[in-house]
Amino acid sequence: MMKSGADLQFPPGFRFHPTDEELVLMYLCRKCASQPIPAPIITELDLYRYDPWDLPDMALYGEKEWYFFSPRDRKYPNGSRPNRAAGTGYWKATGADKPIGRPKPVGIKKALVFYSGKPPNGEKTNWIMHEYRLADVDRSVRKKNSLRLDDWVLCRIYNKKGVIEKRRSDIEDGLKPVTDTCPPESVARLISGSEQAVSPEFTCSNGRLSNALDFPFNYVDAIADNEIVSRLLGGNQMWSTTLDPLVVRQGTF
Amino acid sequence: MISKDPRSSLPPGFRFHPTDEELILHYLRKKVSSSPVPLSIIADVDIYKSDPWDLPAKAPFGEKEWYFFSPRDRKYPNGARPNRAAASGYWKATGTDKLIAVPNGEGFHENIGIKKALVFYRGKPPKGVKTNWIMHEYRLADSLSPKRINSSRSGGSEVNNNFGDRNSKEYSMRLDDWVLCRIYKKSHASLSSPDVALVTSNQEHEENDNEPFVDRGTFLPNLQNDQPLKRQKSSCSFSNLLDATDLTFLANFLNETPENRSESDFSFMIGNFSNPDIYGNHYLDQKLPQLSSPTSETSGIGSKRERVDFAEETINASKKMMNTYSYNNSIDQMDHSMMQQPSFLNQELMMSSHLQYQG
Repeated sequence: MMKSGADLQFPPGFRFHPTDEELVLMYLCRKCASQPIPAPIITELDLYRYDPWDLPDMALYGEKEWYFFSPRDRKYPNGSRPNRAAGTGYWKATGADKPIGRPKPVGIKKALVFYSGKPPNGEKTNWIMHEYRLADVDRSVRKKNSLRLDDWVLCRIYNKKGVIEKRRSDIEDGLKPVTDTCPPESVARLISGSEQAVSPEFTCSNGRLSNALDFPFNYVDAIADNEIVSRLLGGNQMWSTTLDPLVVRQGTF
Repeated sequence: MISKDPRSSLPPGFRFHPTDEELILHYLRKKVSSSPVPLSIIADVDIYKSDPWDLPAKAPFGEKEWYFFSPRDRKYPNGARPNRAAASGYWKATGTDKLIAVPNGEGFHENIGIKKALVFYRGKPPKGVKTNWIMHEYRLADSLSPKRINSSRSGGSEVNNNFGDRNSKEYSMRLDDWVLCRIYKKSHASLSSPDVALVTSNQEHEENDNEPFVDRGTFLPNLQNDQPLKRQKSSCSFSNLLDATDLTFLANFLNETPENRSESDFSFMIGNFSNPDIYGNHYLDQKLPQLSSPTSETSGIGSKRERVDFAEETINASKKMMNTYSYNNSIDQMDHSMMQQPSFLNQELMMSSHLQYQG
């Protein structure tokens, strides 16, 4: 909930729902340039020292997603890879990096998932991070005796299931059967998400096609059944069949 | 959005992204009871007098979704159904109504409102064309209706102030003085688009606020409900087919044969012309009723399947001529029968050709 209610007074219904461009241009760029931030919404914190379920309590603002300015360290002194170890687990990248800004990208967004335990045997959790870093920054420059890779990156933290309680998160992380059920739910969410993207017309079309395919089979089955029965029971029908050409003949001539 | 926002002091990134509970408690309930609304950020607009694509221009602000207070009229006097007709189309409900509840002090959930989703169709029902414009309609729950009854009197005067004087007939057609509507256009853009991804994420985030598990539960039953309906339709068709008589089948067969006509039909016709004594005039009447009995339901047969059935009929007829009346599925047996009766088979083929020609 709002930690600094006195500082942030908004009418009911207004929330911090920034676009990626707003996060990068209005907050991250200003932070890295040591300029004033529009609002005290984003907490300064080295979030790699903590588990994600401890972060909501340290945030200035947020109900289901929380924002932080955090430094990034290198994994190795001369390397350019960031150190992803955090708390009792580690963050693992997922998906492709996404450039933010046009025509020239100003920032890069990376999505990560938190795994509890030691790599590569960590257990996947539902905690997600969106990390925004500046693009076009020379990260090869290194200060003496420092592993610092970035002074500030902007991170959004949220739980995919919307669960906030630390205890429940621990239970979910600890029980393997529970975590095993996560992938199907993730798939279900993806399907649900894709359903939103698919237009209703297309869905209806599929339904109609499916219905059309069912119809002929039933009809053919009925014909076959009817024909066999009629052949077995009705001898008179044969004569009608035999005499069909008569009608044609009379009509023609 | 910032330039339009009544409060330009909002920091960048803040948007009107209310939960269903906030819409009911802080905006709709206060509107209905004529209490001061936190801000004049939701305009009073009669949704049903405009097309949805004209509504964004009437909203104080909004980027991808717009909010309005709107009255609702009855479809018929003294009826309980709302009139969904709009300027050049109509709104049609979709999905199931969702109860909006908040926990009260006693540990239970109190129902405070109902949310209904609708889609806009252009044209006249029931032949309207579906569009991508979506409406979420929020109305107060019955538990708050005592306030609504009280407020309807003062609300009535307010309505008169807003929409001018109304005669008693128009006033009796009013179903609700105020409902809260959210209007937005469903996007077809690819998920890779940043804006769409954000919108999808926001909507999903909002759904999580409002009983995500219930949403999941209601999603699957809908799918299950749809499939039985389709199967029932198929079953009805099957029942109709079972009721069809053999004459209907033959008549349909004759009508469909033109598609399979070939040049050889004429040669067979000439061949049979040399045997006019076979046919008599007194059989002509028996054929006419068959020709008049085809039905539209039987017109769905594919020509390929029809030909297969026709060939099967030929084989069955040849077996009947041998007075066996026993249907044998053995292919060897059928081949053996054909070899025993070669001359009859040729004659039968000529008759089959005539059947094709007649169609």
